[in-house]
Amino acid sequence: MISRTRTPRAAIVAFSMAIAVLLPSCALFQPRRVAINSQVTQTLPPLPVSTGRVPSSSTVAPRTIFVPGKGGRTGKVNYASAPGVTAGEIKIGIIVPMDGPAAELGRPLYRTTQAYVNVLNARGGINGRKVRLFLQTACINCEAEVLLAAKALVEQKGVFAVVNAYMNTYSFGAAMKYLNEKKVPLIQGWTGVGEESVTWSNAQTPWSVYYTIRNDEAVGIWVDWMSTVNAKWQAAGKLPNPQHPYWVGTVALDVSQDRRRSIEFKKVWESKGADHKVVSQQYVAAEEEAITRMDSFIAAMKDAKANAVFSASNITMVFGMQAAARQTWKVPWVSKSAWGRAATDNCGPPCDGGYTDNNGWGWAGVDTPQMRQYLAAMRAYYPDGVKYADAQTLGGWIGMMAFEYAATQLGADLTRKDLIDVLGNLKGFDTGVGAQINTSPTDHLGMGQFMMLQICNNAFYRVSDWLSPGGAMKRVSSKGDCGWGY
Amino acid sequence: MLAVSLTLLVQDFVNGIFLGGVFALLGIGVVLIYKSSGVLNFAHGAMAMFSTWVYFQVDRSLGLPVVLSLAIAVAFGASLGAGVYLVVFRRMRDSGLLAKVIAALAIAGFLQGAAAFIWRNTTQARPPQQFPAGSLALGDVGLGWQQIGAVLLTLAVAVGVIQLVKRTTFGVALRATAQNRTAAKLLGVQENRVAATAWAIGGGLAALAGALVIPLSALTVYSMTGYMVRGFVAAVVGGFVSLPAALIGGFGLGIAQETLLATPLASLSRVFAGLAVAVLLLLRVERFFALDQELRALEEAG
Repeated sequence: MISRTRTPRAAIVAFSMAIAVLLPSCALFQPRRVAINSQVTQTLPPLPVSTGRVPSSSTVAPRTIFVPGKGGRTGKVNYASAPGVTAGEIKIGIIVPMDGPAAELGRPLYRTTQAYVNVLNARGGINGRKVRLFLQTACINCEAEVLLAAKALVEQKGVFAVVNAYMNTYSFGAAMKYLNEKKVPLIQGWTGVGEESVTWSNAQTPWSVYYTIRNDEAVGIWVDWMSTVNAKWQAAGKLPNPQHPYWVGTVALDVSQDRRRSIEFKKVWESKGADHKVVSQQYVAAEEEAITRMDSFIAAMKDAKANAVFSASNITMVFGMQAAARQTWKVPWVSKSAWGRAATDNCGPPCDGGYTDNNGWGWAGVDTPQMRQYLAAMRAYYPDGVKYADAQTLGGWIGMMAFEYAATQLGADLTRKDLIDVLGNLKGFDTGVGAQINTSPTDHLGMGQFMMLQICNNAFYRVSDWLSPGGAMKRVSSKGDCGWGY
Repeated sequence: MLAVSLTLLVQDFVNGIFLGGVFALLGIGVVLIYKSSGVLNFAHGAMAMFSTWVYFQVDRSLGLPVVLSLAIAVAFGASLGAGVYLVVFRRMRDSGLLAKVIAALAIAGFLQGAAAFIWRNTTQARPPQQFPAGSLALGDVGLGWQQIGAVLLTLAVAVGVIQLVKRTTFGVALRATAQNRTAAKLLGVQENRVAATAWAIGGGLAALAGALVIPLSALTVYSMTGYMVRGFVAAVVGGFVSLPAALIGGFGLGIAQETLLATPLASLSRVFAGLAVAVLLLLRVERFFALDQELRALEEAG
């Protein structure tokens, strides 16, 4: 009797618990957990220093300095040269999440792109053609929805190209494949990392270009910067394990791209010499308790006698430095792109001294004509964007600058093929906002430099000029130091 | 050679105590609610999340002392719990277990949607701590004051609730309702009042759990879902009947799950809660904590 009544209840409990585990799991994979570097808190103007550019190793041609609104062809009458292009208009599209947790990432990117379009049209458009931006919102981790958004832009709105799509997750893979099959240019000023199978090569995605730091070059700079910092700390007698100054740990979210970054860091770090060793590699599960579990990861790195930590994502730096502070473990931290409010709003004093990069997207305090244009436009159309000048806003701006440059070069004969040919063959392209862009038919990922930033008192400070792997890791300002040394 | 670092083991053990306390608070709430109304409250995590947002909002907007903010959040959680029962589950007393589970999931979705609407899906990783920010260093092991305070508070509250159920009229009425609903009604027990009180206590405990753990984590509209699942595991230990078993289950799960991290079996830590549910259900471990009569009555009520 009892067994008859028990079985259904046990089944229902088990079924219900399965649902309860599965549903939250979906939520846990929201990219808010992986990348919450939405916006940046900074003091403007941050640093009155020169741009101090260091030529990229891959720069093979003279610089092309582009100032929006300058140059272009004249003399030929505009005509409908391509799908989405008429004599008087160019239609472009953008796909970003405008609601849900990822809206914090999508909205700034869209609003910046729209601000650029407003300014562009106010000065007459590109060669007399006004630009019209179509927005498609899509859930950031819903591959089918993103694909539908891409189809809607191409097949219903008839756009000429797609710009600045938010694609930090695997979910953009299908849309990217579709856009490439349809031969629709995808111009990514702001971008994260795409689906594993989709690389940055011309061979796989010939119709896509991305203007962000190359991962291998980024790893080289992180390694060089950390090595320099550790040498300084060693000289100052501040390392907890001075016998082995170059023993370090890594911490990454347990997702493929961060794992790869961590592994790559270890490889490059240990190639620096026998004294350079990664003694502890920690992978943090993308689940809720993992954050409170950071104490365990810190204890493990401490136990392994690490003298510094490389964090492969912003969130592991934010919560890792908090746990390190709880355990009074003071070592240098260098993190991949923690340039966002996640670090300043959510960390506070424990994150003081942490280093991160700017992804190659510049710094609002750098005084160039192009940066002044950016700031003026943002003040006019998106005041918050000035307040939080960061990855999304600067990256999105750079994407639009590249688009305007290429379309201006082509003049009346604007076609998709010619556009991607120009965008995929930029040599020493200087936007005056971000790092120089160098692309080639075999390399559509454009940047090889970034700046190093440091967190201090809930604000970011630029502490270096443009850095290249193998170059001088020179600190140019003591602001933002917070008493942490180099 | 299975090398285990003692420092790491101790560090993970104390982390486990802290997390276990959170699981225990949630588990006790789940048990109270199930005993009083036969509802497997899958909205428990969402209720905790919503109350934690209230805690955060009260602190930011009113700038009250943190103790007052916490009290307001717990009071809100209690009201939310009682409200959910009176509005939804009071009318579903005679519905089947599955219908109640679906209703609970719907409430969870509603609360997450409402939180997203009100707080616009932002992430807040620094709600105020109730205890000082520093830590106590025990050799190489660091233990934050927030963690120490949370464990002590959890123990005090959990023991208080267990005593409440054991020694008060409310407790007698709750147990009577759980064991034989009809007989309890005939004896004058007002089952809706008892159930609403149990839901209020459960809601308050959920709010407390959220407010204690979130300062060391991140607050989003999806917060507390992972903890809720662990709270259910704690509740399973006592067959959704025994409060002391939920307390033991919570701490046991936290300690076991976290201590595994210091061993070569670290990867098992992530699936430990799921394995624990399966094993506990198979072994019918609740027999050690609950009377057959209570278990049978709940079966029949469900």
